[in-house]
Amino acid sequence: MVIWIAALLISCNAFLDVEPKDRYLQASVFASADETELARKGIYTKLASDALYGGALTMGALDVMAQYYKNEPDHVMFGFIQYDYKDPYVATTFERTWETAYNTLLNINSFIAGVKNEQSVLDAHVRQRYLGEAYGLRAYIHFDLLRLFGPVYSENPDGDAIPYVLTPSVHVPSLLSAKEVGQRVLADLDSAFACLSAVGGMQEIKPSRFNKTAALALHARVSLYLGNQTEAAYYAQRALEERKDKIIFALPIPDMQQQYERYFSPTQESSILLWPATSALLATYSWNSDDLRFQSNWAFYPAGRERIAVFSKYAPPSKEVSLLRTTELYFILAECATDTQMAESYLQQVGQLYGELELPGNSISDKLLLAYRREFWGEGQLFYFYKRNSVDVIPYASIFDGTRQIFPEDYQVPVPESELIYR
Amino acid sequence: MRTLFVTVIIALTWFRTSQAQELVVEVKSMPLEQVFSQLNQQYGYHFIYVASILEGLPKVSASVTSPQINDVMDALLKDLPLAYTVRGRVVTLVQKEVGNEGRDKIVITGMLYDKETLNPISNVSVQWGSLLSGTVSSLDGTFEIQVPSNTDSLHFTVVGYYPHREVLRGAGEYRIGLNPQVMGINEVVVTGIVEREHESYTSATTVISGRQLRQLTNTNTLSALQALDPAFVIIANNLRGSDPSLLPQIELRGKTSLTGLSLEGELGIDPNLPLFILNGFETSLEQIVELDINRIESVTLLKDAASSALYGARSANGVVVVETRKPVSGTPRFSYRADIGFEKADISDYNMMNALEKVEFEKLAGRYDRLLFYEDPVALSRTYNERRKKALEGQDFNWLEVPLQHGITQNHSLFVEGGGSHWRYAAGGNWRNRQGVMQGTLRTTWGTWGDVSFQKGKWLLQAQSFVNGSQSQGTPSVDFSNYVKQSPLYTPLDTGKYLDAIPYREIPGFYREPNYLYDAGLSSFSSNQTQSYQQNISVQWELSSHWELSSRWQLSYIQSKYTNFISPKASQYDEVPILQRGEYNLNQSKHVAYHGNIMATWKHTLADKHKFVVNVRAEIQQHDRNNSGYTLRGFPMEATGYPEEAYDEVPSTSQPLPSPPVIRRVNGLVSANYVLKDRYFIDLTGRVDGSTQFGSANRYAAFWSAGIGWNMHAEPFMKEVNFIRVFRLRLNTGLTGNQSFGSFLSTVVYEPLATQLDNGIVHSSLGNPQLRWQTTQQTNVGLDLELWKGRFTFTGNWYQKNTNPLIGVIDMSPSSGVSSYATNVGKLKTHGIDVSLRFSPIFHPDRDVQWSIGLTLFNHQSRYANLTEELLALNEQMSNNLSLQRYIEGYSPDDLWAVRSLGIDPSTGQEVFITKDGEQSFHYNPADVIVVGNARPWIDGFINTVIDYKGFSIGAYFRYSLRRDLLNEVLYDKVENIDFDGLSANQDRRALYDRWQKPGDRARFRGISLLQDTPISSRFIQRENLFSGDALSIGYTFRADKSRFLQRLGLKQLRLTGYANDFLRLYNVLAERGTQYPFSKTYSFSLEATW
Repeated sequence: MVIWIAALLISCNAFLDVEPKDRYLQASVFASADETELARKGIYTKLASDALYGGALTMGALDVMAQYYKNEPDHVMFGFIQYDYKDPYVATTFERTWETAYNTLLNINSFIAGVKNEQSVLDAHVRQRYLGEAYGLRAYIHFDLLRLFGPVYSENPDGDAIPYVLTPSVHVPSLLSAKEVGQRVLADLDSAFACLSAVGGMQEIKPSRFNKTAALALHARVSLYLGNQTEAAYYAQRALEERKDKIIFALPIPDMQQQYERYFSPTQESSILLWPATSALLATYSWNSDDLRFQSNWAFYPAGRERIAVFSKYAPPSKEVSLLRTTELYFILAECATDTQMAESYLQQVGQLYGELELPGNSISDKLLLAYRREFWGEGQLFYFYKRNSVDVIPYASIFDGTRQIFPEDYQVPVPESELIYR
Repeated sequence: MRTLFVTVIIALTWFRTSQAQELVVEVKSMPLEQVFSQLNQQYGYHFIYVASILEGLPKVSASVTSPQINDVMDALLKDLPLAYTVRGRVVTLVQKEVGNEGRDKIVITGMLYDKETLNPISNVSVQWGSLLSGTVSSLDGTFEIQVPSNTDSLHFTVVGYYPHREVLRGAGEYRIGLNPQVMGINEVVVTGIVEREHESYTSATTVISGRQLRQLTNTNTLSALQALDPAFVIIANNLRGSDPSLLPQIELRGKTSLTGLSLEGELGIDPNLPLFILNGFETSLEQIVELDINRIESVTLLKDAASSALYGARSANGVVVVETRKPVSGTPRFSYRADIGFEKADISDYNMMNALEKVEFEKLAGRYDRLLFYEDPVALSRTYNERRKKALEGQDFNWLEVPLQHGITQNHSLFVEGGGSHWRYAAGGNWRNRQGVMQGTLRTTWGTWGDVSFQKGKWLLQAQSFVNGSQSQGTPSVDFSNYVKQSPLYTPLDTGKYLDAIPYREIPGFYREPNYLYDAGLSSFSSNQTQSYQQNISVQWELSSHWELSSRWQLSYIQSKYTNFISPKASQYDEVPILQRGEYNLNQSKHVAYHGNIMATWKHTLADKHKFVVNVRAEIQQHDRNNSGYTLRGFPMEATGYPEEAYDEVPSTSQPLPSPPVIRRVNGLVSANYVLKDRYFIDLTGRVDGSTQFGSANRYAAFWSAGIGWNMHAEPFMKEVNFIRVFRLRLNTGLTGNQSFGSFLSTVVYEPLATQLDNGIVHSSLGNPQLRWQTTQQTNVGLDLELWKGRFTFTGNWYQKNTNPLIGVIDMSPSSGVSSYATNVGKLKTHGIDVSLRFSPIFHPDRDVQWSIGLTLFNHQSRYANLTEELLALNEQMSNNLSLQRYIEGYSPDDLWAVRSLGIDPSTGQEVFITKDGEQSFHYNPADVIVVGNARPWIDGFINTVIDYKGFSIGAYFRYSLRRDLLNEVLYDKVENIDFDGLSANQDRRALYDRWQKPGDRARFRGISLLQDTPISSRFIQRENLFSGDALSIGYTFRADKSRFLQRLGLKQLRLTGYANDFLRLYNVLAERGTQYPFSKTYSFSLEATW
């Protein structure tokens, strides 16, 4: 009888042991190398969503806020031009960015915890590489959240910025100061570099995944933002030694065609389409139509009597967006250079790549502003440059006199309301 | 007439089927009474006779071994002047006719039938004169008897029917119908798992016969249940009204779960929905809604733990058990039923402005003074003058009637049954077509089914199959509310996206007034199709007189398809690239399930005093649901909704539809019932549930119930109290569960995030390993009363349901990475009473003459306790969202929280609020909210009256609901809170007449020109008292024995019934109902013919 009951119970248990069909339980994900790889891909796919680097943080909202584009009052993104963070479209965009970023961070943290837990599933060097990528991406996202939602660092490094999440948890993480966030970003980058270096030189280095050079280059970018020029120059130099390619880390965007049609395709309605005033565009490139970037990134379409300039960098077959470029390292070196000569020469090294004439401008910082403007069109870096330097007048803007005033409060994108109610 | 019968024992049929077992009788010169007593103890046979007929009879000797009681009786009564009849296990004895006594004799022949089912009744005692002589009807219900010519009447008696006295009109053939004893003492409670005698069951259950249901309505089973049991409540859907494709929201004894915290599991099940059982197997609400009401034999509501604990983990909200008609053997009988109904929208509660009032309101509200959006003041005043002129010329279009139609509902059902001594069959089908009251809405359902049963010796085999389908079309692409909004200054000839354009002043462009009905003219559509197939098989095997084994299996397959097309012209695409406009969506789902169970039943009677029934049962289930589908985006402007029209035929959806995991369940059940001397009884139930939904950490859960009862009327000291027929007290308590939550709340689940380039998996929720399952402790105390032979009946229950712990899905801060999290949040305590009583001023059920008045009453209260910090923290959010709900210990989920208002200050037109401390203030402070009402009525229920007179019947059911508080959304949205855009829409008249205009006005509402938001205060909460006519029916049954016409048609019976449903509504709060889809009144007629 007892045996009978025991047998029955065991068979009941076996009957009730059901795996979901199209989903994966956490325990099983990290017990298999294939599924761990799927979880890693999931993180990159999340990063590529419209709310993050597939849209808002690169070609979309951030570039509109950098005053690249023409904007009429009936344009859906008019609120970004005006830095009107209460505008419902603007508020929703940043709320989605915030939510998606923290959900991606949750996935990264679960990934780190899962991979750390399972010692024997992955090859040692694969495991190190995965962990290194995860630390690196955690730093990358937090740093961008700091730049977007944090205070202007040079003016208020102790102001409340954002939470820095290290473990998957349902507790409301506390807000850290900009300084603390910066320290944690650097700590994560050190871990990332350590893991990625341990992999050894044998690995195939793909710019589509976070890599060793990316860790160094990001370190340089972060150090500069935190005002540590020596360290910035040091890491920029080290990154340059690692690699000479133009692109260090570029994220594949699966929905790129859709994004192109949404933001830039000439078939788009004028109230949604992003396009610059032709005069402002030409002025940005100093009327030099031989600039390679001008040639490859721009196309002109007739619209009535005028021709409108269409940003075609992301037109098919383009499938990725650059998150870290070698050219930025030269810019960092130029900014940190102690004498003007050195700085000029770094800028020229970049200019030579594109057939660029000498940058107009009275000072290195004026030249850098223009260099950033030319180089990072469609990549979302320019607004952070303004914010870092507290720029108060934006030149080359697509409005009738070409300059746009920007006030300190415009740099302060507020933490979304949906987060603040928990504070 | 005094009944001379001595009922030796009340017939208690322990088995559904009477099957033979070996009877062994060895008696030597023993008095008959003693023999009967032994047969009763050993084999459970009951003997009914008039004591005097045994007097003076010799002792008997016999030696028989036979499975047939008839053989035993024949041997025993060999030389005695006695005749007998057998029906089930009841043997009725009568005196044999004494031979010729020299008087004149006449021969009476006849046929006996059940007045409800029209089936012949066998084994009826037919007696005359002193009631000592007579005969018995044969299998086909016929009888033949010789009686003295001066006999004035015959008496017919049989178990299960009212005794009947037929007055003789001389020799000849009679057709005699007997009334079944519906409220009889032998009522059986079908719980879907075990059967219990109502007489000895401790649970609060309500058994409703199909006939009772059909007296209320010919279509809507659920609304009829609401009228017959006070605890069964359909929550009126104020948005979707009488939409034919709407599934009702149902509560049995209130809510046990939190709502409003997005608790619907991944199965989309309402966590407060009762469990539905059809012929012993779990089914969906949709299947019950679609079931042909003419097929229903009975519906049993299991309201408390004693009965619902049989269903363990899913029983916390009660159980609704539906049984369909079982076939009856005999020559084939056909019946056909046709229903036709007319539905009319009820829009009497709309109170919209006419054209002149509308223009006047726009003027007073400042539409023409404001220079918003840079409008040109000259153009504005020109617009005003044009509009006023139009209105004065009589332009006043009534938009409310435009989308409406008279809905016509048709239903045809056909039914055939018959069989021989060992086998029975029944088959049928129905087709129903319901047009809704909004144009283009249609729902068609159809079903066919067949039943076969085969009985041989100790075995009974039954098989049932169903094939059902439904198709519904056209949820209207534009809600009714859009028609309500449209200004009466326009007519359907005014089309286009915008209706009026007012030029701007300095810049080029216009302010355009939207056409709320633009989307109605487009080619958008939606349709829904479902087909289901079910096969049930059951086997019963009677091992001995004490043991029975049975097993039942069901295999079901349901597939559904949903298609939806949104025209590329739709206004929702205004900001979407042209090539991405238009969407075609196809979702398909297939659901395969099997259930199987095996049950052993043991029953025993000891010394005629102790009766035991014990059931042991094991069950296994699996549900496997697969979803598939795709979305196509981007259609040319002229597209009519074929997927081939899409620009790009590659589905652009990035997310495949998730398929829920396979759900498997096992359970073991022990249920016992013990009765002592028919007076005291005990019920015990224990069940262990195992389910994949529980999560691997705690995969099994146990549920139980225990109950005691006392039949005081069976006590010796009550023998003298003749007017009390039933006086029964019941008490039970038990633990029940709720499983309407998702499967993976306790663990992290990764889902695919597929794109064109890469596949990956991500998770967007966090599991809670500490999560405990929601269980509800229920207690019930009840009293059943039947006085004056059933002229007065009363059933009352007091109950308590405590849910602990509640599961709540708490919104999380976005920085945690998840939007919500399931956790245990506290307790919900509810209690209430449900009462049903009936009194019959005229009461002759034996003659089919009866007038009864009934009343039902329901009161339900609930409150929170032990709430966790997480839930309390939500109150601030609710306050920010201006919600009327709060989570506060000691208060009810139904409480409405708002700031008290003193009304409008006549001098300033501003609202005066009352703060928490009772002071007056112009300032609205959300912290001042207190409970200003309760959304549940204090009491509600039905008053009904039913008149039966010889085949003629009238039924009327009225609903009442007292002291329910509600937020009158019309006052909030259409009288106040009209913003600038709202000025182009039509509004409630009270916005013009009842708003403050100038100092000194004593107005109920704030200044007419205020466009800013008004917060919700007690001003908008009104107390509603309601009296409504839910059902009225008048019917007449023509019988062949009374009507030549029917005989000529070959009909046995013809029944005609007229119905009016939701025909009356008396209320004191004028609030719009059915805002997206109106409510309706229904008038219908049905004809039922039986051959």
